Amino acid sequence: MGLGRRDLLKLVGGGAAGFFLTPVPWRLIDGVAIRTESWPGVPDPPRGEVRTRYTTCTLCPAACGVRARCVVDQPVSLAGVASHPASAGVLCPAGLCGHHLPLLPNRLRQALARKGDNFQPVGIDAVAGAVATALADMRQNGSAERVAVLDARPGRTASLMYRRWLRAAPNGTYLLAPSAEATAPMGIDIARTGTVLSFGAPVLDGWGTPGRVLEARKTFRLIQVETRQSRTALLADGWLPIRPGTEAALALGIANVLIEEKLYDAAAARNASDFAAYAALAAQFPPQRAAQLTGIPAQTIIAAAHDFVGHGPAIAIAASDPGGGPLGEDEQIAIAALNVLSGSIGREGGFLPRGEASRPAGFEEAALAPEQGIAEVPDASIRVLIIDDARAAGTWCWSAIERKLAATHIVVAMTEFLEGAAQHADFAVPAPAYLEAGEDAPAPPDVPAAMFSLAGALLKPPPEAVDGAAFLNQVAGGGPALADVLKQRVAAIHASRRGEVFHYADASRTAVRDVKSAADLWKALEEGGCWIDHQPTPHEKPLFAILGDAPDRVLEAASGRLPADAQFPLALVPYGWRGAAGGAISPIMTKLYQESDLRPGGDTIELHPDTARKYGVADGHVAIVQTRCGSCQRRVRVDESVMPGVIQAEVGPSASGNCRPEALLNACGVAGDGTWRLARASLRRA
Amino acid sequence: MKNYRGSILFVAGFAIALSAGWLAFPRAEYERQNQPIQFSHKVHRDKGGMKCEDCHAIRDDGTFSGIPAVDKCAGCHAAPMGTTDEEKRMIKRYIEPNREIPWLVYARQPENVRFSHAFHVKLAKLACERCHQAHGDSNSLPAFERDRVSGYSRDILGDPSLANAANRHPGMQMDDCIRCHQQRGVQDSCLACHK
Repeated sequence: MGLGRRDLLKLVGGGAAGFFLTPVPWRLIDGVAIRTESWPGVPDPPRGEVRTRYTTCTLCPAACGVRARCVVDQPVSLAGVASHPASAGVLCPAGLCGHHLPLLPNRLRQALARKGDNFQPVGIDAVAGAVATALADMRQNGSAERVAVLDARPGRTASLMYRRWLRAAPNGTYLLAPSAEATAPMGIDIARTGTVLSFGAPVLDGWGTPGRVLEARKTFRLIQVETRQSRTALLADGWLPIRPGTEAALALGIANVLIEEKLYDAAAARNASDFAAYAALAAQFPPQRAAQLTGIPAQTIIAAAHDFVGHGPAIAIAASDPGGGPLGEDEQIAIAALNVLSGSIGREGGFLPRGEASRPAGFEEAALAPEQGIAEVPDASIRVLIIDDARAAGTWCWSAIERKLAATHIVVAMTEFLEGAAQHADFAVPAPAYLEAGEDAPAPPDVPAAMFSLAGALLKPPPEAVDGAAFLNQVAGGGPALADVLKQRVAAIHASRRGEVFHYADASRTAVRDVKSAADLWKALEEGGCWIDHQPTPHEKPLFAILGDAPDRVLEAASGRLPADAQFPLALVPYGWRGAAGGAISPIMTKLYQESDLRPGGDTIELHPDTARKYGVADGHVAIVQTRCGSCQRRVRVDESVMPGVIQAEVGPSASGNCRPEALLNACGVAGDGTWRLARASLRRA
Repeated sequence: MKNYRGSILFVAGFAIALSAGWLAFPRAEYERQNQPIQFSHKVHRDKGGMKCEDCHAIRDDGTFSGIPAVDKCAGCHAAPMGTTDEEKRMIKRYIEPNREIPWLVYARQPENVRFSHAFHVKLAKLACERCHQAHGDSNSLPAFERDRVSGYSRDILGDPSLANAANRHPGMQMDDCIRCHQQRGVQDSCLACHK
């Protein structure tokens, strides 16, 4: 009566049939699928009460309002603040996942000192000691060398502290970042602008305050002047594909049409002391000559000039590319002069002079080191260089900075990650990351009124992290903390009784004169708010010079920045996106680069099919880009939208994760005016 | 008899599998964990005169406070209000050191889900019990039953056992959300619920 083999099979067969009529297999399949959501590496936020906290984004100069959903004290998602006077409820992709940055595994948590090609741990005291010793040595020897702070995010209260500290330091020099956006004394009244003529500014892809610009885009016309068919060019009302490096020629060509046809604002032009000289310069660039230089047909240039002033108020802007670096000063002069012709300076819908949040006593302009561009500093003159926010400096061409360093020098990078300029530093000092630093945010460039926001810290920084002001205090042996100076500044704003406070939590506004005390104002700003100065800054239209002392340089720039070179026949044009060009990004953002075709990524160059054919490369090939200053290896992507004879190279994260932008930027080389946005190059298959 | 022997064995195997799958598996599927502190929703409601939203509030800006933080409990229980050992334990372990109570959340959704209590309670007028059953009437917190495979609670996954067939809780999985939305004619899109 025992069970035979066949009996056992029948029993098991019955069991198997029954098994599939139970929830077991379906629950197991479902359970295993769900389990994959909590595999190791998937973040597991803490549990607890969900709270909403507010702060201000400091990842770029846009200073967008941030609503953070926190579980207990840990931010788990970020969103924009509805009705925010600048950001209008919008956050860019980088801002939406900014709370991941403090958690990245490559976060710098202790100070490092360079030893050969590597870094080794060191105490912050030792770093401060090394700087203090160098300063003492400079003082003792009466050295002509400089101590400098290179500020990647100028305009903050910390920037004022740096400038005051430098005033007392030997040959203290405060250097603006090459691509600083937030220091302009004039804001752009973009909400009332009729036409924007943009020379390479990524107006719709990370320029100004994205929410405000997108809101204003409903009303302004956009003419984009750019070599590549960028996102902004695609979405513009008109795109003028221009030969690389000929922006000044086009600006003068448009000026020529406006002056010849008397379409300019004569009243505004009368304020320019050298208008005759400017008109004479523009007369050298009739549309036909401008067409020859820029590659844009003469009729298109004439139409663009008509379009520019036909829908006023009209502004011309020339912004730095986040990856390619700043435009040359002379090109900027040629482009800015169009605003004189359109009469947009000091006019609603144009450029309006704006004040700034009141400063505390002791921070008057006379007590501070002046702001300087890095190109203004003599080569080999900086003995001690402190770089604040070295991560943001990831898209600077290091050789532009390196040439300014003395033979014996110390470079200290205040940074959250060992990225960008920090890789070239002698010391890397851990700084509080985004959401960890209690600091302020100045007015973004496209806001016509002065603004001041506090970016309250939502997270505790690592124990060793110090902000730049605290580090300088350590070097000097004492000084006020940033938090104390911020409180003094808020007290000064309160004492001014100007403007109003916008409260992030309920979008309400309170006039500063109705805020009882400075402490109340501090509390309102710290809990989530921004101060806006709605009173117009009194100004008169002074007599000014358009060209200043640079008419010859402007003429030279307009004649083309990129002379022909038989050995290097191609034009290398680096570009980047503000949200990611700096280096460290959230893992989620890598989807833009690695799992999609949305952005090419830092290991890629783009070529026109004809260019690719001519140089024997095809889609997916690896090619070597060679310039007079260096070379880099990149994967080829063939794209018909690229101008023939041009190599487009994105400065940003790479799919492989090991392709850094330095090789590309250094290959571009630094021009005489300190820019690196163009280079002659050759190409061959690797 | 010999002719039926094979069929009997097949049916026996079939029955064993069915029994195991419908009766034993639902019990074995979950591991039970007790909450760190016991308390009575009913006492808070009846004796304390509290409402659900006193602790699980929908704020003016539409956000939901979820499980209250320990400082909310401390608002009333900084010193013992009653005589229970559980209350004393809560004060000593969590309120005095200001340490969060590690509640095991029955309704915890995956992190990729966005759920607005304000939409469901204020706009759609759904009762809390529709998804959370009658927690508000409970005298003690039920054990948290965690699915051994997926890690989610029985409240999320629902209960497939025959024992609870009559009062089967629908669960709070995506299918359950979609079913309810379809019944109510609510339009869906992925990004309405997923972030």
